Amino acid sequence: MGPISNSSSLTAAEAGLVSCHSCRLLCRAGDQVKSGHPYCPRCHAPLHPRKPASLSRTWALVLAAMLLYIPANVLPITQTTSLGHTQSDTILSGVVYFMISGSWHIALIIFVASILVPLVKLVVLIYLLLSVQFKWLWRPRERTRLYRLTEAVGRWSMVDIYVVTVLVALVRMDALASVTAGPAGLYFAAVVVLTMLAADSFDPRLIWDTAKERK
Amino acid sequence: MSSDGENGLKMEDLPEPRVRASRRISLVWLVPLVAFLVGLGLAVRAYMEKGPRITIQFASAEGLEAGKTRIKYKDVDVGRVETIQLDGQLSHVRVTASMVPEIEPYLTDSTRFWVVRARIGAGEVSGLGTLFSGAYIAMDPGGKGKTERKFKGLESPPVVTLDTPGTHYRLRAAKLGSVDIGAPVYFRQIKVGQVVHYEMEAGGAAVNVKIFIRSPHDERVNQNTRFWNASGLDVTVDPNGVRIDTQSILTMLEGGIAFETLPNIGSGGPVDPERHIFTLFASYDRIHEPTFVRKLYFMAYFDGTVRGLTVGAPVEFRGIKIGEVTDIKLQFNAKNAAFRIPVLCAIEPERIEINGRSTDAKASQKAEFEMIARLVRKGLRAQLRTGVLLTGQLYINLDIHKGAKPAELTFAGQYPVLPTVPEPVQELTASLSNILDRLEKLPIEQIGEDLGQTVHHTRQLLGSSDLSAAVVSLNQSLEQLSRFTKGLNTEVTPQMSALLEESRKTMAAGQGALTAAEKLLNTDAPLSYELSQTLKELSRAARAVSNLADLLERNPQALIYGKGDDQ
Repeated sequence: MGPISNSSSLTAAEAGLVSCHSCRLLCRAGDQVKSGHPYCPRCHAPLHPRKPASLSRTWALVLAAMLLYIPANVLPITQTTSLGHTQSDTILSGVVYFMISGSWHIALIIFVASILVPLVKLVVLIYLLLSVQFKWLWRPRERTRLYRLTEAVGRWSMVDIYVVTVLVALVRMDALASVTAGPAGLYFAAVVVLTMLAADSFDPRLIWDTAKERK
Repeated sequence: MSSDGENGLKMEDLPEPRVRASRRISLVWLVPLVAFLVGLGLAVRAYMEKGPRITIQFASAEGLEAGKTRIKYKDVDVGRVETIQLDGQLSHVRVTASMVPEIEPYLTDSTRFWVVRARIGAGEVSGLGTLFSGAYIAMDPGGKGKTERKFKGLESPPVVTLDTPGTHYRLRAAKLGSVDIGAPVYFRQIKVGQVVHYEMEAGGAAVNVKIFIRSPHDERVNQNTRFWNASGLDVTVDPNGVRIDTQSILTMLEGGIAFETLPNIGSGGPVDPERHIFTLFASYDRIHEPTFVRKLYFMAYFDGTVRGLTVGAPVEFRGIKIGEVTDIKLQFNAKNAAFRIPVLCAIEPERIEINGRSTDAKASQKAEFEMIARLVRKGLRAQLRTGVLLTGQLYINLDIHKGAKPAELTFAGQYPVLPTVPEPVQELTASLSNILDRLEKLPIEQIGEDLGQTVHHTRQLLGSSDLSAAVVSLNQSLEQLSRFTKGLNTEVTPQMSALLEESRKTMAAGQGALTAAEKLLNTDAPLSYELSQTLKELSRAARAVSNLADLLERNPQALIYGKGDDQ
């Protein structure tokens, strides 16, 4: 297993130590850490050697994001009214519209930011969760990199929400043309936020714990 | 735990964390729960709002866009086109649309859909708004009826929508003229309605036109209303000059129908617009002529001759023309080697004012047959009759013969067969020919010969010397006699004069009879009986005259002394 298995590394958890997240006080992690809810003797912030209930929390958030991803894509995100003709667009139909009308680069941006990224994020998180859950040993370093990528890219999905917001604010020409936000905006924002939270609640150290255990 | 830190800090010196009791289930699971509930709520709402899906068939999808085109009623969205597909044979376009749930009760078999596009016609301009917003499908909600999900879209907007108050009427015309759908209907040159629909009648005998007359003008329509085709320009040249009639410029372009309610005998009662069919006359001048478009055919079989019966001969009922003969054929039945002559007659039921039931065309076809069957049971028979004796023209008379043999209405193919009774002319002809036969057997030639001989004898007699001697002696005798006869005058002379008179009359009658016989023989006139009688009498008279002459020859004194005992 290369550099992972033969390292003589020592984690804080192995050393029976735990660091406070708030005041960074290093404490000893006794048996009580496992049995109850320890908190920092100095600042009273909760102490945990690993992110608490990381797996179940991440699972819950990912599940919620997956559920909301459906209305986010099925319901219309904008309603464009021009010359008395009202048209509702979902995210996908907007992408198609831009692609057909020639602005393929805008279509690409929206496709990547609004469809690809949330989807990839959800898939990656589910993969990571499964790999920890079932203690897979396969390439922990790549998996960690995947996690970092997920965390970094997550917020860019909000681009779509910004586009809608800007459109709604700018295109206000009453009879000629106007754009209103559709109900999907809310669900889409929720999906983005939930995936961000899910990525945040996942503890990548669990990947390495598994690798260590198996050694 | 065993080794000390390098900076001298003992692990044991590090503070111990304190412990709080832990909750069993993490609150974070509320998040997916909420998400699930939201999703469920959306799904339920989508399901509740999901209206009926319908398919509409159009000839073309011009201007329609899947997912975008709306279905509107009174400019309110009631649905949206979901898919547009070609049907299997590529002959139509099938448009699938989802409707709002509220419209569901109005989707019946009378619901109509059509595509609203910008339209510029002779009469009107419509749908200009669609130039900007794109075409949409308009809907005319149906009334009560069977729930329907598959519709056939109209190719043009309906002339009249269901919510317009008024009445539909049905007209029947021999030909359509230039009337088109949407053409105006005028009453006193005011547009009060429109032509809604027209179609060929089943069988192609006439054209059915459906018109709509707006309320309150539909009140003007009753049984005496006459509709006529007011299309185009009516130019009349008469001694008063040139007259040009038209209802309006519009009718010249797209045709039109006008109507008027005539004062008339008979019932001017209200009509049942569903059943009554008006006649659409070709022009205003025609509305006073009764024309009958509806025909009822029946067949009658005749065994005797139909010489004198022609196609077009009238069919009368008690002297009133109700139809005419349309076809005459000769049929030979090979099985029993018999001839018969089927005569097809067309009756125009509109000539008959029928009380007690409505005069609907289609629905009452069966009822009409039933009525005829009832009449046949009551004794309705067809009969050949001579119209004019001289020309020998025949017509067909229908009447109720109370004493006729009972018969039932039968059918020959599609035509009902009326039983027939022999015509009175046929009976008369039979007896007349009998008389003629007998007349032919009379020995007319011999009678004539006898008559000639008699005359010859008389002449010989008159020319003989005996007679002149006799006359001389007779003269003498007469002189004696004249004295003597004065006494007998009253006795003999009236007898003689009466005899002569009678003889003369007989001769004249004989002459008349001869000419009459000649005429009779030439023109086939009846009354030969009298002739034979007269001839017999004449021969008897001639015999008497010859007897007298014989007597006088033998006994000239018989004139003076009478016949004597020896005679």
